[in-house]
Amino acid sequence: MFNPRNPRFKNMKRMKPRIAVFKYSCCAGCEFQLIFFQKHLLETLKAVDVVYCKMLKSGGVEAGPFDVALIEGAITEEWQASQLKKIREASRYLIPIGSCAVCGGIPAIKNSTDELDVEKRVYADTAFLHSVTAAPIDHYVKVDGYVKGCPMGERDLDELVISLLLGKKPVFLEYCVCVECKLRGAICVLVAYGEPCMGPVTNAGCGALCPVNNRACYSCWGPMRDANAKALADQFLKMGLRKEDIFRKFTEFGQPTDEFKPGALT
Amino acid sequence: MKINPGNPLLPLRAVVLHKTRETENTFSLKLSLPDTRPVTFQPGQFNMLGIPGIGEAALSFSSLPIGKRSFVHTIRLAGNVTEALSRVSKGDRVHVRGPFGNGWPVQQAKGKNVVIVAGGIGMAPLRPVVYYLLQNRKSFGKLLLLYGVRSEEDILYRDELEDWLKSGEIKVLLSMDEKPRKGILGARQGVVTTLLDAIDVPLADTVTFTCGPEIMMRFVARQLIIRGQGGNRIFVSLERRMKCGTAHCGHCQIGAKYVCKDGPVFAYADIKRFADTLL
Amino acid sequence: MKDAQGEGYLLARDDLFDWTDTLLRDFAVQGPVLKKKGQTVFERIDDPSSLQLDYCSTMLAPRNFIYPQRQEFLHIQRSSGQTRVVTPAPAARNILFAIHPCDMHAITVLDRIFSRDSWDFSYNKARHETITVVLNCAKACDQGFCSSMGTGPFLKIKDGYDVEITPVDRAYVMEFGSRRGRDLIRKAANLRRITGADLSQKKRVEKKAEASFTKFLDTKGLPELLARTLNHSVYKVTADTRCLNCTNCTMVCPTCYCYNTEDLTRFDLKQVERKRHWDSCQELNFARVHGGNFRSSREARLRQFVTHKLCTWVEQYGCVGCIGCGRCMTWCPTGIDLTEMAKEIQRDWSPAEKR
Ligand SMILES: Cc1cc2nc3c(=O)[nH]c(=O)nc-3n(C[C@H](O)[C@H](O)[C@H](O)COP(=O)(O)OP(=O)(O)OC[C@H]3O[C@@H](n4cnc5c(N)ncnc54)[C@H](O)[C@@H]3O)c2cc1C
Ligand code: SF4
Ligand code: SF4
Ligand code: SF4
Ligand code: SF4
Ligand code: SF4
Ligand code: FES
Repeated sequence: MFNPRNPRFKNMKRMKPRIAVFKYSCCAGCEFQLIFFQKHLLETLKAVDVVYCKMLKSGGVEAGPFDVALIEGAITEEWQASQLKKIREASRYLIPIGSCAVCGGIPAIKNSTDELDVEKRVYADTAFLHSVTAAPIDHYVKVDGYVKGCPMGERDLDELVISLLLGKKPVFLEYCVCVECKLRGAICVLVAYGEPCMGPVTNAGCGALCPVNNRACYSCWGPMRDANAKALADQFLKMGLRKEDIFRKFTEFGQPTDEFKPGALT
Repeated sequence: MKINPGNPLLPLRAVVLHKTRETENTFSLKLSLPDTRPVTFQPGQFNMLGIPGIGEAALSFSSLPIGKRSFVHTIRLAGNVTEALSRVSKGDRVHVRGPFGNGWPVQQAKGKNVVIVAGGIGMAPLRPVVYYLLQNRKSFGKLLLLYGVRSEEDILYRDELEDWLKSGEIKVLLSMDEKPRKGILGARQGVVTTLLDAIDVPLADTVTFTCGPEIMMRFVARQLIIRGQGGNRIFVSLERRMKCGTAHCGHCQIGAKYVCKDGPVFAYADIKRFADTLL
Repeated sequence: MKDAQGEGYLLARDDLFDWTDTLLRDFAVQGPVLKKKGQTVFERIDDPSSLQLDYCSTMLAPRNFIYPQRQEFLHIQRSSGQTRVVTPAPAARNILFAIHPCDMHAITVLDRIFSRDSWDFSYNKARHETITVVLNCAKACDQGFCSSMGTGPFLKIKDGYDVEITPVDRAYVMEFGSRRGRDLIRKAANLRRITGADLSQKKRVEKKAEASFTKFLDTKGLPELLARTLNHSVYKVTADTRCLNCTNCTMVCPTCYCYNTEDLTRFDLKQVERKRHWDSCQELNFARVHGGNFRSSREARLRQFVTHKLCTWVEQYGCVGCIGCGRCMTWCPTGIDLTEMAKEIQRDWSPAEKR
């Protein structure tokens, strides 16, 4: 993970951290989220240097070097993959932000369809298109942690920025939504009301937004590490869900990830 | 010292008197408490050292009390807190809570031979025991220190080891994973258990203190038991995740034992009966 | 301080609300309130008629009024390292009103944990300021087995609580476990001293309540049995096929005390809030250290929960860690039941032992 003592960056001058934000295939909601956190952003902007961010300002050098590159969106075209590799070279830390970049997200829904069909369905002229299976960032390059969420969550983003300023490794949440759900004292919608809640297998960070509002979690944050998806899928079966419904629950945010495959295939 | 007996979660600020680089990834901090009460602690006990905004880490004393209120911790880089501690310099302040835990049962070793088996950073909590044994040399039988390191660069307290070796008061043996250069404290190649053959005292009359990777302590303890030592005469010092030091946060539990309160030093036989150890 | 001296009072059923009304003037009364869709939760009441006195265990035990889910306990000036203890300050003194006997027992279990070996400032301050009013249970909860654990359906402890209320025919028997409790009771109008007849009526209600249980756990020899069956397959099978490591069991358990701490640095980089929040041994990183995780398997984590509650707790604190409230199995998304696991181990072992 983070290695501030990496010799490659040893001679980089200690100044304001240089941040770049790159966007690939996604809705740009995360970048918007970044800008939307204005109360913190104003303070943050004084302490960090946003050197490349299309939504915030024009210009900037794509080639780096960057202290932190935040990558938004899934990789769906070849040029994106090769640019990403260059960014990796030029960045001290590279961190995917948001579910598309973290686990494929919405763009990865296309993965269960033939690539050419997908291209034809969207574009009239496919001559200049080289689309590939939608993949998360860590499929192509090594990453230094994940800011999860759809759009990315405030808690982990705050932790990232603060960590950068303090010079520590960010500690991202690595437990499931149920923890936050109970810490907020929300009545469990799965147990009390029989709603098929994905909270037990979903990474925390949202503050259990949905259960707190009496709705089942639909896993927009993506899978929690070491999730027992199969056990939850079996419970959904017992609760009367059909297999197709269960498949959809585990693929709503992209193709089934390693953690979710056993659930999707139930 | 019993820092803030009223609220053991409240740290005191200690001044960094001295910072020593020990190896590539290990350093020592000599700290002093600007407090009027004298510092008292046992070898094997530990403090929670903290950096505001980063957190706290459990660190054993690697010295005996120095003067009225100074002590040393030897720290290996492992993560956020230890990295942050490595960035402090002389005159800076760090947070200290402690001392916690039980320490090595040196009283039980009185009149007996003492074998000390250290692996890597495990030498740190054992150094004050060596100091203690040498200070009270007459109360103990033969003393042996078996120390395993990965390479020459990883040897902690090399000067002191040489002094001890020369003094003849304690037998010092070193093992190295890599092939050692000639003349480095007579080191031989291999893991630390290969040194057990050199134990030339009757084990029935011996107390063993060991600290190092848990898997190493497992081999040491099992070997010694095969050679005739009782499991309640082998003492291991264990590491677990720690958040409080006060037996409240639950993180350091091994079965019915809290490493922060009942440990970190345990009789091998007493702790081995529980699940989730590598012993 | 109660039966021994024959002290205690009788309050007519209808007068209970008036009494509660009186308490509302001076205290923050946290009582069981019925929410939509049939759930009861503990929350601050401002009108006695919102109380739901006939309730099954709430999802969260009232422990969070004493030991809150999240709590800042230290405030630090980053540059100077100057620290200030953050004192938990209940706005008015809290009364935990009409809590079940099992939950009262659970609080006394937490007392041992947070004050025996060392003193937890925040817990003990809140505990000291919180008044406890226990309502004995006239019938068993759906999943409760407190009668097996010696923690219900009626209060079994002699101190540590303030008021004990027992519903009898058209009235409540009001007893106290502290001077503070006695003063509280005396705020009621129309009290009369209890008689032997009242006490035997109380006994009858208790008998009837005890007869209403359907769930049991034989705890005799159980800690010893669990200590030597650590590798029983029930842990692995249950963990692999059903346990989600969602932590719900431990989050709802009224005696779970584990916490994690974190430093929250404010954006000005000057102030640091050192906070703690409930943590759980079911969480993946609970036992992680540099270079490894001592409970990396789901099996190990589930075993920690079951054996801590029913086995190692006894060695640590001289009592079992389970007060038989039934919450963990009720709120486990897949219905994992620690009594069933214990019984499976008992079934596997008892024939051999009889021989
Ligand atoms: C009684 C005792 C005595 C000790 N004595 C010494 C001593 O004398 N000298 C010494 O050097 N060490 C000693 N240790 C070990 C020392 O406490 C740890 O190395 C230290 O706590 C590490 O803290 P840290 O903040 O630097 O690392 P952390 O940031 O806690 O990281 C430790 C490791 O865990 C991982 N990690 C941390 N949090 C998470 C998470 N949430 N999710 C996933 N992974 C995570 C990190 O990646 C890293 O590999 C002792 C430990 C104990 C219990
Ligand atoms: S509502 Fe969902 S997230 Fe909350 S505890 Fe229940 S299963 Fe977990
Ligand atoms: S509860 Fe689930 S679906 Fe709702 S915001 Fe959180 S992670 Fe997303
Ligand atoms: S509540 Fe159930 S599924 Fe969740 S961790 Fe506990 S036993 Fe496992
Ligand atoms: S273990 Fe389960 S039944 Fe026992 S006290 Fe905890 S929540 Fe209640
Ligand atoms: S069961 Fe787990 S969470 Fe609960 S007190 Fe024990 S170790 Fe802590
Ligand atoms: S460190 Fe918290 S219980 Fe031991």
